[in-house]
Amino acid sequence: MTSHHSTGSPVSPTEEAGSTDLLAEVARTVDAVPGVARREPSVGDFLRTLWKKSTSAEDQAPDTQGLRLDQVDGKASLTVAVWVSREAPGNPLMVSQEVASRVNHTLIERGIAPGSHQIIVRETE
Amino acid sequence: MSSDRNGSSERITTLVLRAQDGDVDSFERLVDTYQAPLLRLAFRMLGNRADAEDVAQESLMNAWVKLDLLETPQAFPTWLYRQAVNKCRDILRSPRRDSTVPIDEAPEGNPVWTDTRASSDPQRAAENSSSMDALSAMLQKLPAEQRACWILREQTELSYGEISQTLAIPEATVRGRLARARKTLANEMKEWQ
Amino acid sequence: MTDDESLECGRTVESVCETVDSEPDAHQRDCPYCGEVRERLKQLDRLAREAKEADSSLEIEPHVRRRIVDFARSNLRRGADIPVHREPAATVSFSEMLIARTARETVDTFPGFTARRCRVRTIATPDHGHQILGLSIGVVMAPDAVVENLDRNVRDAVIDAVARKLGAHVAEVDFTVEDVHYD
Repeated sequence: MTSHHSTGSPVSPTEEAGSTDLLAEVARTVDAVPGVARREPSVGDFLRTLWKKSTSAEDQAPDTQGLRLDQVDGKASLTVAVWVSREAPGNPLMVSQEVASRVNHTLIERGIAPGSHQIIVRETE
Repeated sequence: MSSDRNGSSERITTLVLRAQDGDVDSFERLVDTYQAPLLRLAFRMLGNRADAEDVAQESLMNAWVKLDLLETPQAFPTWLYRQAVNKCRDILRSPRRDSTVPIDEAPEGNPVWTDTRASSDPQRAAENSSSMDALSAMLQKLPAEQRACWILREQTELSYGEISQTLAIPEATVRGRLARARKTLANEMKEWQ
Repeated sequence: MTDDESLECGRTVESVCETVDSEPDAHQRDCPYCGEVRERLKQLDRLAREAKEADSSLEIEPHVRRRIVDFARSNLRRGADIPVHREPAATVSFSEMLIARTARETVDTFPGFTARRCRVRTIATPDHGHQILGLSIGVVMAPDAVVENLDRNVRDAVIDAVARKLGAHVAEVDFTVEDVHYD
């Protein structure tokens, strides 16, 4: 029941050559945030994860599972579902805000304007 | 199961509700409570331990997946047993790839779902008969629906109401099947002697 | 003996089944047909008892148990994603399960109280800052627990725990006492 609506085109590895790198770099940025334990393989909830049997190239792209980058009017918005470690330096809200902040940094460095990100904390471990 | 009431059925309800909220520790306690009754039920339905363990495992995993669909947590036990009985039926109805034994007709004209795998492969039949005790051998002679009623009553110790809920049949039908099962088994006792 | 309802003496097999646990009546005492059925049913009961005895040591293998629990742990039902904080730059959401678990664990720390289900709802969704949440928690109580403690202590503890441990803002918590456990 997320309230975001994405009307832009998702950036996927099957599109422009440069976009694979972008997605992978954003993924690395997210993973490097202190307190991010892992990404969920799917942005959807558990039921969809369980029954989805996907074989598209997109889903087999390494390290970019569970990430979606939508581009609207030149701005890039990230959607990601993560697990936060119980030993994280801050609570899940703080960790999520740090994710947003670092992802913005990565985007700006590449000359991409950040949009509005959706960060979902599904679990702590 | 029907022996200790009140306190423990409330406790089960609490565990079910917490498990519905995603509390795996509570689910673990449900697993510990029901794994043995499920295993024993399936063992008597199917006559072999390996299949019975598959049924117990699948029933519990399935229960976890579908737990949120259970609207009355108080009905968890019979809901769980129903899934186990359904899986037993599936196993009894699916012939092994190498089996060509036809389904027997019981005298009253209802098909008897026997374990076709047991009878097709001689070696397997021997294994099964050595691991099957006298009761299991006799139970295999009962149609699956009577067998289920008998096991749920005599082994799982459910009340008529609980069996009715588990099998989704009226209590009168439960009693009828139990009576027929007892008659058949009494008849079988003669052969067994 | 046949599968038909009637025995050779005219009585039904069912009539013997129904009375096997009580004393035989005058007819049954003398009738060889009823007697035989009765005897067989008693042997059947004995067999059933022995089987139950034999089955009482039947348990699933430890590795099967582990497989079931691991399956549950890796396939958690998360519930809805609840937005907890909004800014133009980012919206942060938590799964309902995460919030429910923190609330439940907090309630459990109070002696005499056990949490059941916790439902999370959104009360207000300002464009900036914390979203305002409300919780509905079902609890069971021990008979000697003091129900007023829910209002006095438990509510504040839940609000505080969710704020500190997760970073979400709960404004309302309503409790429903669903049962009393007599241990």
